[in-house]
Formats: sequence, C-alpha cells, structure tokens
Amino acid sequence: MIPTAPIAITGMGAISAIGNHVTENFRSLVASKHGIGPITQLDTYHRGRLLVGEIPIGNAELYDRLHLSPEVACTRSTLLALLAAKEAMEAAAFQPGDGYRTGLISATTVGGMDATEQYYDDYLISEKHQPFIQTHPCGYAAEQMGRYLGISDFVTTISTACSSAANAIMLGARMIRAGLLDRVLVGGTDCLSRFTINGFNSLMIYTDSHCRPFDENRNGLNLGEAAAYLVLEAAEVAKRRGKSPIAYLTGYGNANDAFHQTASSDNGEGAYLAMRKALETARLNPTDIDYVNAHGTATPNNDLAEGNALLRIYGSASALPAFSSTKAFTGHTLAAAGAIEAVFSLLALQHQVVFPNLNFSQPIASLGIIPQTELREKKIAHVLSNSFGFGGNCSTLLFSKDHD
Amino acid sequence: MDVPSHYIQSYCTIRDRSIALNGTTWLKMDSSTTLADFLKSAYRQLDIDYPKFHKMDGLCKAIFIATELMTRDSGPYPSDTALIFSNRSSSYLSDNKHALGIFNTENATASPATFVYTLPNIALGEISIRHRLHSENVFFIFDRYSPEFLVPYTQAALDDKKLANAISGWTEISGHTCDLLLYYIGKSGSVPHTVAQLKRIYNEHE
Amino acid sequence: MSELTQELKAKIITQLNLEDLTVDDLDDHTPLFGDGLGLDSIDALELIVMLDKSYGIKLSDPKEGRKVFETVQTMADFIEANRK
Repeated sequence: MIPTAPIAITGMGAISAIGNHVTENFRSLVASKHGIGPITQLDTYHRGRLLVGEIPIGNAELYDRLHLSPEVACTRSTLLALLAAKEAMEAAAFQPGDGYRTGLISATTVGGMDATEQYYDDYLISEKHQPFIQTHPCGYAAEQMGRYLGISDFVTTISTACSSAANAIMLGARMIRAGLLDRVLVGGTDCLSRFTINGFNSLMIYTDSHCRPFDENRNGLNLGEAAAYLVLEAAEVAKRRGKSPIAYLTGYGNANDAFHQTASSDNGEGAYLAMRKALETARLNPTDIDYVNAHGTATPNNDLAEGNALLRIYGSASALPAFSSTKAFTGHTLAAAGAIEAVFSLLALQHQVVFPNLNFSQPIASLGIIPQTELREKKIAHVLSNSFGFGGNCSTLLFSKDHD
Repeated sequence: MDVPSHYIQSYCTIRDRSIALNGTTWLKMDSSTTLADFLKSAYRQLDIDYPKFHKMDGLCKAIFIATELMTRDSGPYPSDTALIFSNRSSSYLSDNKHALGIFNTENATASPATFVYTLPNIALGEISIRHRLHSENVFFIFDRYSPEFLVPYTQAALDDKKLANAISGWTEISGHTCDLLLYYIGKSGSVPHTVAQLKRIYNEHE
Repeated sequence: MSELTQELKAKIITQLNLEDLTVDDLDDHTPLFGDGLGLDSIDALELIVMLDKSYGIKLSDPKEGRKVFETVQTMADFIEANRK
C-alpha cells in the first residue's frame, strides 16, 4: 500500500473577472466586488443580452504582459493560463530543472476554440492566422505551456467538463503519492467563447441577469473566464528546500452520478460520494470541515442536487458548516472553476475568512439551507471544495491548514 | 520479478470498420461504410434494447459497444470500476457539429442534444448510467496512445483507492478513422497489466 | 389537424433520433415523457428549438414545455393556437 504522503501546496496563481492575480482576487472577495457584466470583447449575437464574468484585458495586452512575440500563436485560454501559472511558480520559488521531477497537468474544455471562431474564415484566404490552426485541440495548450515554462518531465491535459481542474489537482496529488513526480503544476483554464455561450444558452440554464446560487428563485448561470494553477509538492521536497507550504491537500474524491448526460440526480448521489471519498482520504469527519466552497452554479438542477448531497452528509440544515458559492463573483469558469475555487479555498484558510454567497435572498424551499451571505471571520482548519461536471463527473477536494 | 497485482481480463479493439473482442473479430464491414452505419450495425448485432444509443454521438457509441462486449466476456462491472480513458481529438465529432450549427450564417442554431456531447467525458457518464457505475472517472488528452502513462497511472489509482477493477484505454474517433482499444482490468487473468502487454494488444489488430 | 400531428410525429422521430420508431408507432395521445416514450430534458429542449425553427413559436421557460409536450396532440393544439 502507498503511504499517504502529505501533499504540500507551495504556490498559487489566479486570473479571473475579479482580479489579475491572487491578491486582487482576494481583495474583491472580501469587498463583495463581483466581476459580472455585459460582454465587451467577444463578438457574439448574445452581446448586449447575456452577462458574463469577463477579464477586461485584450489579447494584445496579455501578449505584452507575457513578453510574447506577436509571431507566436497563443490562444486566449493559453495566455490566461500562462499568467496564472507564472504567478504560481514565482510564489513557489522554484526553477524547473532543479533536480526534482516536475510535471504539468492542465485542464481545459474549450481549448483553442476562441481562435478557431475568430480566424476560421481567414484560414482559407490568408496565411496570416494559419499558425493558430495547430492551437485548436485541447491538448495543445498544455504542451505549449510546458515549453514556455520549462516543464518537461510530464505534461498532460484533462477534459472532464466543469470538474476538469479539480481532477487535474487530484491527479497531480496522486502522481506525487505514487512516486511518479516530486512536484506538479496543476490547474485549469477556459476563456469565454461563442461555442460555450451558445451551448449553455441552448440548454436554457443561462440566466438573463446575475446568477443567484442556492436561492429559491435562481434561474441559471453566468459563464466566466479564468485560469488558476497550484504548485503541489511532496511535503518532504518542500521541507528540503526550506519552503513553507500555504496549506495541504489532504483529501480528494471523484465519483460518477450515473444519472444523465448533463443533469444531476435530485439526491446528488455523485456529489455525495465525491465528498465522502474526500473525507475518507483525509481521514476526517464531516464535522471537521469549517467551510464548504460549493460548486453552486445557480442552475435549478445543480443547487438542488448539491444541497441534497450536503444534507445527506450532515443530516440537517442546522448541522451544515458555513458554505458559499463564489460563482456570483466570477461566473462559471468551466474547466478553470475547480482551480480558481481551490485558490479561493486556500485564501479562506490563509486569512481565516468565509467568502459571501452573493445575490442570495430566499432559501430553496425543499432544502431550507442558507449559505453564508456576508464575509465572516472564523477559525478554519479544513475546507471542502466541490466541482461537478456534465457527464456526471463529481469531484471534491479537501484542503487543510496542517497535516497530521 | 514482482507478481503483477492486476490483469487484463478482456479487451476490445475497434479499427476503421472492424471490431475485435480479445483478438477475435466480432464484426467487419467494408471500409466504405459510414461511421454511423457501421456503429448502428454493431448495435443491431449486440441485439439489445437501449434506444438511448441512437441519441449518442460516435465517440459514445463506439465506447458503448466496446464496454458492452467486454462485460459479456468478463461479467458485470462492479460499481466501483474506475474509468480511465484517453484520446487525442476529445469530442471532435460533436464539437464540429455544434460549431457548424452556431456558425451557420444562414440559419444559426445551437442544438442542445449536440452540445451535451461536446465533452469527451460524457461517454464515461453514458457507460456509468448503462452499467450503474458510481466510480472514479477521468479523461486524458494525449498526442498518441500512451500505455507508458496509462499503466502506472491506472495502477496508482487502483492502489490509492484500493480498487480491484478499472476500464482503461484509448478512444480516438473522428469522421473517418476509428482507433479504439479498451481493456477491463481485474485481479485475475492470464495477461498481466503491463506496458509490454498493452503494446502487444494494441498492435495485434490489423 | 391530423396532418399536423402526422407532420409532428415525423419531426419528433428525426429530431430526437428515435431510430426504432416509425410514424405509425406513435399515438396522438401517448405520453412523450415519463413512462410513455421515455424522452428526457434534453429532448424537451430539442422540441423547444423545433417549435421555434418550424413554427416560429418561442418558449422562454423550459417548464412551460412540460404541458405543451405532454402528447403529440397537446403539441398540435398549442401550435394551432400560437402559430404566426
């Protein structure tokens, strides 16, 4: 049996609609400053109709910030990913090639779709944007990131819908535990695209206003764009190089809801199993959890299923720990959601605060559960973070201030 | 040498227009057959009643057929059978269909039934529903079939959660080509779960 | 009216990939969802798209669909009453 070696988190980076780096994201969270607004960059029919969590920086400026030559074909998802990944690596203060086997596991669902949408018609008539053709597949971004960041021991991409980044984090931890890697940069990225906005809108789960997670009258999600990465290391490695961790990843679990292609089962079976497995891995009881960063997309179906799963874990509404969904700040950032919310969970541990669930007014009648609606300081030792995806893919991560 | 802890109990390959179970051809059609017709013929040959099959995209259908054949050979999958899949083109068939719909300049339409298949892991959901699996699933995107990664990773996943079974493999399906190898891993059998064996199995289907 | 129900049956079969069914298998009063034809929420969304594209009728709330799509007959009645 593999000993459960502790997994240290030694760096994090994030860019979302509420901030270009981790500190900015934190400031917005504590100030209840959300990032949802009209579409200003994407060229779509839904401009002026739907609200999104857009990062207000154009691609040209992202190129500048990364000192990338305009000759290099880099999609928006990759540009965002590189910014967040660089921040995480700088925070972790390591140089690739320092003798430790370092990997990169990146999650995406849209891949290079934004460039394809923009340049597809051009490809046939001009050579100008043709270098972007190769950026289309989901696997390309991680390979390109690995080259840019100097990580080559192991590079791969995960695509399991909206739990993708949580799975990337979980798999990174597992590879360290199995002795396959010493250190791994894990996370996810997805930019806004016509592909996803039209798709979610066709499923009639896109709200016409601001999303209201866990509210009785919630009527759908806002999409957002983000990228976030963590540096996971074998605790032993962090110790050897004198790096004190931000926190530890102590538990993780993944389960399939086995109910429907996109809808969750009403009793939240997959969500329930994922949370149970994460608690088991960490050898913790539900009562040990001080804060749950919920998936909480604000679709009628997700919040009902997740709420029911939480009630099954805790027995009653009054027994639930403080919980909130931060999707009303960032929008649902799809493959990045698990990573951006991992960063938020780590910020909650670092600063001992629970972030508010915005736009909530009335509890879901059949559940009676009430999220944290104001910023709250409290003692936090363990945080659960949920990410659930289409295809029934449910993941839960458990972050702890210390490990035993 | 160490005694392997896990074995390949059954495996299925789909190449172009032929399907083999444990190395024996189960269906072979002319290479001019369309992917849709080929997969529909395979479904008919399975002789089951599962109307949802017709709603699936090509990737899901191919995976559905392979997992159906393997369970006939090795018995029902336990509900904690891990699913560890990979391919290169993700959900290309449905992505393409969705894109053609929304970028159609005459009559742009987003079809919800198409959009739901624009993720490769929907296939994992489909077979979880079919075989009542509530297990761990992951879908990797690689450049090529990589047993060098799949074997140690699958082994680590099995050891980490103390699992006996997994279905793993490579499922690359595009408009014209099928390149699929799925294998069911368990605690007993004669083919050890090793990189060398998986290379052999992958290459044996002409 | 029966022309419309026949037309709807054909559209439902092709739009929802009900491969094993023909127009003759579908009764005007068979429940489309639940125990009847066993259609699901995604099928309901496809039917909403179909109402819009073929008959110019927009449903903005998927919940409205539940009543409209009860049977082929209820669909036909709704279309007759609302088509432009």
